[in-house]
Amino acid sequence: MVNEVPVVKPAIKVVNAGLQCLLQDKGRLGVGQSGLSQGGAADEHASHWANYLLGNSSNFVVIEIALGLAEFEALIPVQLSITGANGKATINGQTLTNWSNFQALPGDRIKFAGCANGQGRFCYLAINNGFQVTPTLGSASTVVRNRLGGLNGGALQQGDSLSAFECPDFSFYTRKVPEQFIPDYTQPLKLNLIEGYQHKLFSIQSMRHFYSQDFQVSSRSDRMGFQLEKGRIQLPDNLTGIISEGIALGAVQIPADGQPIILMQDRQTLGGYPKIGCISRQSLSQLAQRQPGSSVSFTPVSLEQAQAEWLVFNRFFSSS
Amino acid sequence: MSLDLSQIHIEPVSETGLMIYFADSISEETAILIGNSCSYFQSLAFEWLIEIIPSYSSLYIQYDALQLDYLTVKQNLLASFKTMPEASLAATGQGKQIELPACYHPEVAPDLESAATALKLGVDELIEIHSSRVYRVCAIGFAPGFAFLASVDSRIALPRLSTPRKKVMKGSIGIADQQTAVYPQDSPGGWQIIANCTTALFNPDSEPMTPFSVGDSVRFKPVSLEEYLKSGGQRWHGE
Repeated sequence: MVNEVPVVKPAIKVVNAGLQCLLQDKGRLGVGQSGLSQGGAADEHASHWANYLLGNSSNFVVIEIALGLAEFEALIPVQLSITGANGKATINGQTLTNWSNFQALPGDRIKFAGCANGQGRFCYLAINNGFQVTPTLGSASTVVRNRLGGLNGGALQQGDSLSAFECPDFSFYTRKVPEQFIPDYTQPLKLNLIEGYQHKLFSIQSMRHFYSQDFQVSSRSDRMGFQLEKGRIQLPDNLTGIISEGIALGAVQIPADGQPIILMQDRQTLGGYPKIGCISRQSLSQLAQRQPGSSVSFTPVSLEQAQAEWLVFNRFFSSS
Repeated sequence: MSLDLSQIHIEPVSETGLMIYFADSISEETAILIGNSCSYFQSLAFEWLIEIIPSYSSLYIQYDALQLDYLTVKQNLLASFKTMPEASLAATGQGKQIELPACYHPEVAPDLESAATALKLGVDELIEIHSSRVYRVCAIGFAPGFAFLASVDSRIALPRLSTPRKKVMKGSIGIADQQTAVYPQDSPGGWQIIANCTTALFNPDSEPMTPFSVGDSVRFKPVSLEEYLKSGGQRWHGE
């Protein structure tokens, strides 16, 4: 039996799909010129760790659980891991440790009871060898707006069954993410900004004032973009629009009211609002977890430093 | 006109993204050059090239920073511009010529009559002006397969609706300022709708997913309501 080749079977049933549970991987790359959004896990830091805990490649498919509301049932023996927001997850009523892996046997109920106020937005549930989903255009990432990815172009529904490899129990041992890599989503957040795009059109005074302000995450924030409020940046005279151009992940767009919008994974591919640069990918992961009302501010970072941090992060996870 | 390398600026925008700016204004020549450059870069099949998004006056490129750093990518791009074939540098489109059927009729296009009135034109004149011009694909975005076509005759330039519609029917042909476009799917939108096109413009299962590439040219061929309905067209049912 030990040498039996593992087979893919229905592994996890969705008992309660909560607010929005999405299958995500690194995103649908190379489709931007047809006007499609990339998608991908909103918090790469948490989704990469979820895969890492199981020895998975960081591109394996995970479930992103909005505000930690969902319930699943195991159909075969599997190893799972949970990271990200604290959704007060339990297995058969027993508390699970966040940022850790665990085993589930057929019939086990894994329930996420919801994120407390201010305690993050997205929980990640990963499975040994990833959820086995037929990719659409190279990715399983669900982009609801484009009706692509996931099981049928949308969020998971009650009764859906997700396939995975069976994981015999003798392979199980517990891993936990070291404390220093577990973020506290209740803390005020400093976003590292790589200045770029039209930032030179903004005066030194208005950039300085921009860096000195505290902003709040607005309730109009989702996987397309995070709107900030309670602060604003002075737009240069006559600069209300620019020639539409490609938008990078994390771009900070300044509409006419001067309140920044940070563009996330499901962003549109082109935009005609002025932009002052992009926040770093590490900052973006942390921002994705901030609930409305959370305090954020900006600080400039050099391209070299941001790129060095990005490389360290990705090299660590690609070596697993 | 041909590509002047000194006009090109390459700037980093993120850990993995850069912009190539070709010009600081919109022109048909620029759209053609960008379309040609985009196809040329793709033909070179760089392993580090993850995403390429052409627009009116720029190309956005996402690269794999695990393979190459920004300066090396920039050098690669500049070197590639220098090896671009003459034909790609010339501002003559190598793009496809696409003809799309267009049914200009008030039963499929809710703004056709009001637009003609606002422009002080007859409906027939509006149709004649819109369908007699060859448009250039300047950008693809907003929604999958949504191609921004430039530019319409200034006599039929129309402002966006002050309140966008919640649902513009699939296939709707709209005008916004000097641009015209076809909505590939039902979607919200504020362009004034003057016709509908039954040709499918976005299919994720086909290769390519959309018939358009930046730099292609597009012409609309008027069809009767009868022909339109026969080829699967529907009467307006937007919101």
